[in-house]
Amino acid sequence: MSSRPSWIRRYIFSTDHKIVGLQFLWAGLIFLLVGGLLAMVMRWQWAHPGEPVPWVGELLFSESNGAVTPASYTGLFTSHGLMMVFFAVTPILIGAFGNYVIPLLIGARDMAFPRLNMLSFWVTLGAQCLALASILMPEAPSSGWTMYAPLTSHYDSVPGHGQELMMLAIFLVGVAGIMGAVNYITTVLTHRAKGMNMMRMPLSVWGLFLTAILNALFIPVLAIAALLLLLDRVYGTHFFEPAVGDPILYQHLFWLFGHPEVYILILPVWGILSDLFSYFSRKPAYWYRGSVYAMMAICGLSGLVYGHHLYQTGLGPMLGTAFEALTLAISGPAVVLFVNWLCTLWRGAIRYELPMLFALGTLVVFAGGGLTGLYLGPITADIYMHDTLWVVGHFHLIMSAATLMGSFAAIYYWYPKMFGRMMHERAGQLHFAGTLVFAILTFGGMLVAGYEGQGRRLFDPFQYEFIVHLKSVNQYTTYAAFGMGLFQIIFAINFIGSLFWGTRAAENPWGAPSLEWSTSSPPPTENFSEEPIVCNGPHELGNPAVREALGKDWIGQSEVMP
Amino acid sequence: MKCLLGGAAVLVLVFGCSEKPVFTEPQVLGGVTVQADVLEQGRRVYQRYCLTCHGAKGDGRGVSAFGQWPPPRDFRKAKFKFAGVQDRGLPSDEELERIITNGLKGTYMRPWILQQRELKSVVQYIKTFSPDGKGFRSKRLKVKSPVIAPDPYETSEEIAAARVEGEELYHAMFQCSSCHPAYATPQQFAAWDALMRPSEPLAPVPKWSENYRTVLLPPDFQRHQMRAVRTRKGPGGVIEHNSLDIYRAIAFGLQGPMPGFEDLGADKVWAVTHYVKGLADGRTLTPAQKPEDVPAPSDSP
Amino acid sequence: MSISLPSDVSSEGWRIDHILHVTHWAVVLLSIITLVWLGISLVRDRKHRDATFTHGTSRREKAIPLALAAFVFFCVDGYLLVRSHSDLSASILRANDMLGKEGVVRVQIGARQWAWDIRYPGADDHFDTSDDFYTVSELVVPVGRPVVFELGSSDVIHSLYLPNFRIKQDAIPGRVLRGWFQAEKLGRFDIACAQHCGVHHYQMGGTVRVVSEDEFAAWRAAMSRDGARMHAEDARAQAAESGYQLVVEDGWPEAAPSRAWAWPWGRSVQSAGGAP
Repeated sequence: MSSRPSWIRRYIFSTDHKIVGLQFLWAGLIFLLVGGLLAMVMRWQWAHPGEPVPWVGELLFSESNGAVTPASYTGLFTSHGLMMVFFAVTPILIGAFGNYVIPLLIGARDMAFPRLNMLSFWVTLGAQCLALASILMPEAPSSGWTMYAPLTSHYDSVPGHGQELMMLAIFLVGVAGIMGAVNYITTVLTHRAKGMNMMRMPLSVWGLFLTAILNALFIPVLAIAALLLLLDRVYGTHFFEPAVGDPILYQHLFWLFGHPEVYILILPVWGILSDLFSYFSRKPAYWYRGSVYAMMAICGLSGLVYGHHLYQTGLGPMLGTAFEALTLAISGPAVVLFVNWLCTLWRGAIRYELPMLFALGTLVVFAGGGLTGLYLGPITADIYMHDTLWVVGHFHLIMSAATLMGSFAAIYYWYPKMFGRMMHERAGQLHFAGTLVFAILTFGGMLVAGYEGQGRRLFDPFQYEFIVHLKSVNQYTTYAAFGMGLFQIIFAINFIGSLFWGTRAAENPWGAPSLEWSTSSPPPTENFSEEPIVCNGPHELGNPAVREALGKDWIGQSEVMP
Repeated sequence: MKCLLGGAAVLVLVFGCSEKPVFTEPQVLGGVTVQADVLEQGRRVYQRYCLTCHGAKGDGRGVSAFGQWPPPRDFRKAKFKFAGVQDRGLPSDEELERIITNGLKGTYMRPWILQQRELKSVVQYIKTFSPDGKGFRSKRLKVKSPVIAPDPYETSEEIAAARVEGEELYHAMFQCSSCHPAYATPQQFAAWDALMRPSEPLAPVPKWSENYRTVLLPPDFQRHQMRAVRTRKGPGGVIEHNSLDIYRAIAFGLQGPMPGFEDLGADKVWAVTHYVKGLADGRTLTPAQKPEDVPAPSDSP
Repeated sequence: MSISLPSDVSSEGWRIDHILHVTHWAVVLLSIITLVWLGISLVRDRKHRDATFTHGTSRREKAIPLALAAFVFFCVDGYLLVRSHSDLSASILRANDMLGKEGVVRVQIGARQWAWDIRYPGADDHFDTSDDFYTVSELVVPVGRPVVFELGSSDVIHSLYLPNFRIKQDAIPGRVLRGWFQAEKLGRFDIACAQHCGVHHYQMGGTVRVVSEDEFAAWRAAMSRDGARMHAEDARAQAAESGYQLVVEDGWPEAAPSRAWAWPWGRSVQSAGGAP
């Protein structure tokens, strides 16, 4: 081993979990931009159907004088969904934070399988490039992100080769996801520092760990579903063909993955939120074990509720009711987790720093997402609500607003750890206010339109008598979405500008007791100069005994009480 | 090095995926030379919107065509029921564009929302399905655009009078009621010295059509929709039918199942038009809550 | 501006509206609890010098989240589950029972890209007889009578969506699903497709025309007579040698019969019910 590896070895093909994490972060942020821009064009169509898209229209849709056509519209919503779920939010939340913080938080020197880790990133990047190529094809994938068979299994229904590239990309991202999951699980189980037993891990690690378990269990199902679909489409097999196979089988496979996917994306956010509420209200996390068990229970239930996506497919009444009962049962552990957060805040000494602002924003939009889900659980209510914009608003509140604001909270929180500098406070506050307000307006607008019956994925919804009066609602929603997009520019500038001009971060800027703040920022290659020995829980804040002994209101996890 | 290779692979993936064009040379279609790039664009539009019903060969047998009544048009024959073409001739581009944008009511042909460029190119493309020497590739067949004579009846009194005249023409001179239902009483028939169809005079007569390879049912104007007649919501929720579209069908026929009556004089055709419009507008309707379709752009020629 | 559901013109739609309204109350209650709780913490506790030190592990402290979870689980979820289950078994899944009722109207709806084929049994009330007749994307039903539909698809998955009747049912190739509704008001109402089914999914609309019983009877008689006559003409043309030669090309008859009812694959009714 040479004493000083080459630049490429250190920064491009690096096996260091921190570099891999940052690579995931950058890749995810770029695709967040792509997915966001697709959403903006799509929203324009709902506000001004058939009118040329300003600025980018001529470039994107030159054949139709800059207006969105039905075919390009189907491409837009399909690409937006797939880009966001698989190629933006997953890399950011699981790839970036999973990689960056798990070893630091458990006091490990690196991941259990550093090379597998690097491979996972490069396979993800390959998948991202395939996905990008697929939407640049003359016929972009246009089946909806769910890619239901038999729509996708015939060229006549969904023409062009973009669809195949996208299926391949999903298969690859599934493979990468499995690699990452195996790695995270092994790392958490075997690489914890001395004294760091499972119940001393910060809740962020619990969230990421449980996510990895779900990933390992359910991503293979998705990868196989995508592969079978590809075989049906390209080689004419009949897995999902109505005559000999079963089109509903694809929906079972897809949602067996698809519903846990929601929890795959939100569990890391829950974990991070639980920690941040504790750190920024200077109080221990309320009923730590309760939160852990609640997250475990939700993990367990998540694989058993997917049937509520299939209520309208003629599911047997018995099966439907069973899925309905299990779906509604998820609110039990979710309430425990949520109330634990509220109790953590109660009688704390709340510090309104940027990560805390975003964490509180996440709490609000997540509550909105959870409550709007209540309308979709009962089978009878779902008869009306199914496939309307209500569903879209509901899952955007969770899978977009909550996961993204949670990601922002995490980025603002760990930015000083990653780059050794602080992000700009005022710009961050502005970004927070704009994002929160416009996210609520955007997704609230969708909920309103959906409640009045507007279906999703309609190129021109206003040809229906019962939707035509919703045009103004759609327009407001569109402008709110544009507003939300514009406020992200502040974040981009802040993120990149602070790399160069941010103030130097203090050793432990947030006064957090977890292990990552006991080393330098950014941490050295193997993280800790000597292996930390953990002797405290993750949330020892506000302990009067500590205050008396140390003169500060917290004690680090590896700090020995005098 | 690896990263350079990776980058190159990405570029190849992103920019290397393009399809080979099918049309490389301009073609003469309906006596007009059409550029290859127009046909190429038309082909893409066709693949997106038309293929599932009209089929890859333009023969009206796409995957979704099975069991459709009426069946999708077979473009190879270059016969179009509603393009206002007298028996032998080719439809004009404007008529084909009109059919695509308005759709055909009560059939699977929807009103398609296409951009001008897409519309013009796909119209050219569907002409390429004609086999050599036939249809749009024939040297003898000429494009015939219907010329719609101005409506001589303007005031409401004139129109009321025209309807009375039209009623007689419909049952007597034009003999519409030999296929369409008769709406007059036997006494009226006797007064006009016209013959009432002996079998089921109040019902339309379904008939096998050679050109369109299906059984066609002439509409009962009080009950059926007219395929190519635009409608709009008038005062009091009445659905008003576009008189120009009715005139076009009566004057120029349906290229096969129905002859054109233009040579009997525009005034007479307009009188029948007003009579038929009156029947259709007065169709028994429950209080309408929505216009039947896109409002007609304009009634004036 | 008020936010409201589309007007309900069906006999059973109130069940769905009711469960939505009950959910409103639950959601409002839970939102108020959350916001007041959060608001008090955020405003009051910013001034606290020292946070209260507790891990929330005493029995009394654990009881707070558990009690709230139990409240939501038993009161809110429990009500929704029981209520929706009783609605399903009392009415929504009763399509098969409706078939035996006096004056029931039967239709078959075949979804295809991008239209709804609707078949009526004609005057004799039996399908697959010569007086069956068809409409495209226009469903005509009499007011005040149960309508039982059998839904299938000939290409991809569609979803029959009648917002004013609170009906949504996927149309799945290879399966025939049964459901029912009963119109209570005259008028024209929208049919939409709720499942993405290709480029022109957005145009896969149609109309439900609710007419009086007399008008429906007259309409059905006339349409059924047309249907029988077209069938006869079809048979005549087939019998006559000229002009009707069955040339099979690519597996397709050159001259397709005027109307082949394209039930996708098989015609057994697989499952009953508007939803599961």
